Amino acid sequence: MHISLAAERLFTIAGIPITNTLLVSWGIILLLFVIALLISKNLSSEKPKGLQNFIELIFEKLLDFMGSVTGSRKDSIKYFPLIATIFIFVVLSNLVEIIPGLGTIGIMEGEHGHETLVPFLRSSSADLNFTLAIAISAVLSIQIFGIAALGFFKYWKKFFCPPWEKPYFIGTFIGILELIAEVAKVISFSFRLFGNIFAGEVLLTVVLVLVPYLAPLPFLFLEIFVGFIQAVVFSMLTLVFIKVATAHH
Amino acid sequence: MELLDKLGIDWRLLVAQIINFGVLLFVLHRFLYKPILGVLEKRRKEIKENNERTKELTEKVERAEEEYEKRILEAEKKSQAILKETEEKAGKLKNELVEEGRKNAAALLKESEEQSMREKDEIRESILKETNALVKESVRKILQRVADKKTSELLWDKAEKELKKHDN
Repeated sequence: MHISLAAERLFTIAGIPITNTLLVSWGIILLLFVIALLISKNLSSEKPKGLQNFIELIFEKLLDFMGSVTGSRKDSIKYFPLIATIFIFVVLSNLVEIIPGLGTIGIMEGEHGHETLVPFLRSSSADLNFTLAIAISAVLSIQIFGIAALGFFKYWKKFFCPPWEKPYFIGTFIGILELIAEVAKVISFSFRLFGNIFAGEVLLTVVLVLVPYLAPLPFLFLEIFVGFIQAVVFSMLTLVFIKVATAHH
Repeated sequence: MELLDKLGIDWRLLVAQIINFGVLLFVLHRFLYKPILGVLEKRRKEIKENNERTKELTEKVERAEEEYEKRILEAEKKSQAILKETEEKAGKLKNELVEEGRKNAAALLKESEEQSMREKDEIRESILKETNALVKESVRKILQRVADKKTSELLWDKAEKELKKHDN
């Protein structure tokens, strides 16, 4: 049994290492692209069918849920693309870990006697590059929405308050704290998701090695639940931060 | 740097994942969110419009019902007023007619009384005239029987004078 914090490198293209998590990310993007194309091709306003109904249901529920945070449908629609993309991408990346054979099919690498398994696929949320990328995108978007809502100078005054203006040094100090908080958001976002999903993968691997039959089943259910909750937490926290960043004080 | 290596953080992979996210956001926004949200909003708008229209029509019906009730009530009031006025007029007319009848009857009674009085007077007059003539005749006949011609004529003149006095 080999457990690695970093995603395993499979091969390199033009100097860029291609990891198993990157492959899974591409797979998810491709899948979503196909679904999006299928839906937009057969879109019907009067008589929605099958998949469109399902997507509409999810979107409507997500919009309602967002409405409970934003308090207005207009705002919910405005932030919907970002929040929905985070939710869908993260939830699919999380749920990929329960696919059988994901962490067990691969190639053996290494020296004689020290061979380790390099799985072809690995849940992309169990890679800090992925979680960090989404966290950075989310926090950057929060700043952009904040600037769009309040104006550049008013928004940045939150972080850079000159000590000669009210409330003087306290304002400057709070500004520094706010700046640290923004960086902390990136760290907490990425490590929370990575920690949960990576731990889940490790847990599943360990249980699978110890008791291969039946025992992993409850853990698989637990991982489905955790994967969904983490996606909700990530997307809703982003929405709450956007709401705070765009609020007029 | 060592820590980043241990955690598997590689800036090239990080950039690749950020690009992945950006591409996914663009693709989903273009092919999924826009059309589906468009459909949802269109449907929502239609439902809202239909609801508003239903509300409007319900209000219209309610207003029409109120107007109908009001008109019925007004008509009832009007008919009651007309009935009352007619009754009053009829009462007044009745009173007038009764009064007129009474007056006519009184006039008629008075006239008939006068008529009967007149007739009575006439009868009395004629009786008196007849009696007078009878008395005159009787007196003349008696005078002619009891006295001579001359005396009787004298006495007749006197008696005639006396009778004329009574006539007047």
